[in-house]
Amino acid sequence: MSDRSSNKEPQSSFDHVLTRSDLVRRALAGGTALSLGGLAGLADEAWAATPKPTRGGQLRVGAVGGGSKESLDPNVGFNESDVMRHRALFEGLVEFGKKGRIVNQLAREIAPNGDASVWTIRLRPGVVFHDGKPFTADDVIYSLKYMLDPTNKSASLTLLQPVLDPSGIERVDSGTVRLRLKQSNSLLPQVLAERTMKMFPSGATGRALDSNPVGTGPFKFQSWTRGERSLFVRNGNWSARGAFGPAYVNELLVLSITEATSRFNALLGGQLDIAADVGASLGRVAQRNSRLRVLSTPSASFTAFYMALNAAPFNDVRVRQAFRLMIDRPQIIKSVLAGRGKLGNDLSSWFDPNYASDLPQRPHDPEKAKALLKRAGRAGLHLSLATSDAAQAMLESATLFKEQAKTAGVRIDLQKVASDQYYNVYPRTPWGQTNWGGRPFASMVSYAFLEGASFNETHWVRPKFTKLFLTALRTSNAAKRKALLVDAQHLLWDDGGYIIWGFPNTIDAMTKKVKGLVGSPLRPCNFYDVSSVYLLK
Amino acid sequence: MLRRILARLAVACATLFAVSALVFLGTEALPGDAATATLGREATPELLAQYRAQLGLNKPLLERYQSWLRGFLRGDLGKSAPNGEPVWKLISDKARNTAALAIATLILLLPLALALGILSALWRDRMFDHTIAITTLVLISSPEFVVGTLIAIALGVWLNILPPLSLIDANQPLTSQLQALVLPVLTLLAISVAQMTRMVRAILLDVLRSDFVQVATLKGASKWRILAHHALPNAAGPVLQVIAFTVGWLVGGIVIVENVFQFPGLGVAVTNAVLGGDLPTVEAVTMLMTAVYLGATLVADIGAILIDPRLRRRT
Repeated sequence: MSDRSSNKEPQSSFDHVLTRSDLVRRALAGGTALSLGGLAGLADEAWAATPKPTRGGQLRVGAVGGGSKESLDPNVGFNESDVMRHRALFEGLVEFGKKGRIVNQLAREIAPNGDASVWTIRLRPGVVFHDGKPFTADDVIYSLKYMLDPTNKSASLTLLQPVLDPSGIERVDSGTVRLRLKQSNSLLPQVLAERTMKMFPSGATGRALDSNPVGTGPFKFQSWTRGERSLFVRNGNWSARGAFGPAYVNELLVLSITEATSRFNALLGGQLDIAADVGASLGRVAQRNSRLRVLSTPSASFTAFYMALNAAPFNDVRVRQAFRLMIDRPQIIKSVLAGRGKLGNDLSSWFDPNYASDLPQRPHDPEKAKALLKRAGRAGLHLSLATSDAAQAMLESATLFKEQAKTAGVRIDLQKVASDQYYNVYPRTPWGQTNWGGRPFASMVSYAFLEGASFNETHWVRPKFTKLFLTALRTSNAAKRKALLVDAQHLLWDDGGYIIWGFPNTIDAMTKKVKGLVGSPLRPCNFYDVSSVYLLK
Repeated sequence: MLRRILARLAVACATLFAVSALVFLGTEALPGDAATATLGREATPELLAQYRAQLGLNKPLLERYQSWLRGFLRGDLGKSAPNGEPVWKLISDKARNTAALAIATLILLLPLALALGILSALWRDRMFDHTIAITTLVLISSPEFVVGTLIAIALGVWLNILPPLSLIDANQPLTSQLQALVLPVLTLLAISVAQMTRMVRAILLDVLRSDFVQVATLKGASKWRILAHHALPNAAGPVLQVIAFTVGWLVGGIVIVENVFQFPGLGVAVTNAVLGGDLPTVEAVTMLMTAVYLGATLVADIGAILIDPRLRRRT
């Protein structure tokens, strides 16, 4: 009883003294210290601002599920609840930590040679798998070779194959692995931080990973029913390391609930502690409820317009520039996202240390847009646009853009496509809408800005850009590399085909019992890592 | 009579076969397939090709249908497309949950609907009849998902006396989680009681208007005696048909109600399978549901023959 009041008291007085954003900022700062230090001692320091974390209890989180598509195998999971499971059970060599920064996880050190073509990975000592076996270089080699074997259908293959051949993986000793890359890549840690590149025990098959996964992560597998629920228990050998916190709760229950409204109702009905990613409108409802708390996190995922550079009228840079000028970004953020969003400057990856923050914000200038269109011989342009509610804010932003375009004399006819059909239709149209998760810039480039890249929606093929990017990949000096990557982004800003008007915040709702959750720009619910969450008794 | 039953069985089998072909074609006509559904936005041409080859999706339609049908006739439901698990293993738990839901609904539904229907017919045009008529009409004209959502909000969220979602743990016995059944059963009940009450009332009114009831009334038989000895035995055959019809409706209604409450049954399974392009699971669940529907109709037909001597003589 006295325990309970001592927990409650400082919290309620805290709420009066500090605003929520203050709390978040403090926690963020603490989290970074924790990632860099990787020491349990620092973790306590980090949370000094909030009541002392309590251990124990069961944390129940609701996230979008994938029905029978769900998997425990980190190589094949694609939906949100899969991400949560994989982040709880497994670790990568490196992981995305607070603010989307990459931190060493199972690697103690990742060091390149002079031209970043050979990397030496020293492993964190003393790490054991959930079954008690030590984690060694053999497991790293097995995991990487498993991902590179096309018959395993690993989601990591697409990103890893251009970088590494199985023959380039060498065992130096039981705690060290050397990777000889196909070509220089000074941003290898970004590739290895991809969420599907987890380390698993040597000899594990896909079947074994899906039925009884053994990882090194903060939680151990207990039981699951595909498409419904997974129950994990705290890894007894765990202490806070790398991107992950101390794992305060004893049990983690992940519930697959696909509809945001259903997740929210389950939270209201006391069936969940956290409802991940409920969206802006339910977030407003949650805010009015005295039992609930809302975490609104600036996100790097975005819904944007793309214009294909190889198709008229967008093959003319003046038309692309005009379209980027005639969109009223603040208005869309205000009315579509209820103000909960970040202004976009036609570039992705704002959280990336290599982001071109030196560029001015592109203004809303319909007059200049009109003049540009006139000069391009495209005054009074009339187009159709396929849109859908396949992603957050997609249909709404298209509807607003249609109105805004009128001020520049452009007429847009909207054609609504069913949401489950949109991604079968969209890449064949000269312009359209798209949705991207939060990714570092280099990862965006390999997906969207190279010739033949899988998602080059804008048909961006610019030798100058490619050369800058490849030079950056050969450059080990971080400052020089950033300068090259910033130059590359300048080209995209001047000449590219994306209209990135903004980044919707991710909104997670939770009961006031839940403490310690800090957002990540990459995915909802702290990129689905709850190892820093604790429950008030 | 045996010949008639056998003929009905043959028709039922033919219907099953036709439904299986229709489902195959229908799923095929949907845009995308199991590969695009599984990989979603992250599908690259190479990954898609790998998936299709592994799932055999690159074979011609007829060949795939034949191989599915051969397996089905041998009792092999095939493997679920996204994860390669046997379909039966995947849906058996869910079939158990759905069966529990349907049986619980029926156990409550039959006495309730019969009582309400009979009383409405007996007290025709009185206060009781009008109240029931208005309530049932409102319920019948509301879609299942509206009724379900309202019940979930009222009892689950506002009053907070029952869990708004039926998050059943498959690793625990269902008997220890019966409270998860309450809201879906209430929803199914609300709608099916309404429909069935209307039909029972109509049947009974028909019988009560018939000549032999009038004769019995003129002879001075009491209202309850007429009901028990004359009206109800004659209404039994049509009422059996109504029950079969309601079972058929339940099979469809359950799909929607399960989705409202995230009840882990066949309805949610088949919805996920359709969205995931998981043809073997879609086929298995539709076959099962069609079989239940056809089975219920068959049993009702046989029951009607057994009850009504006139039908027996006609063969």
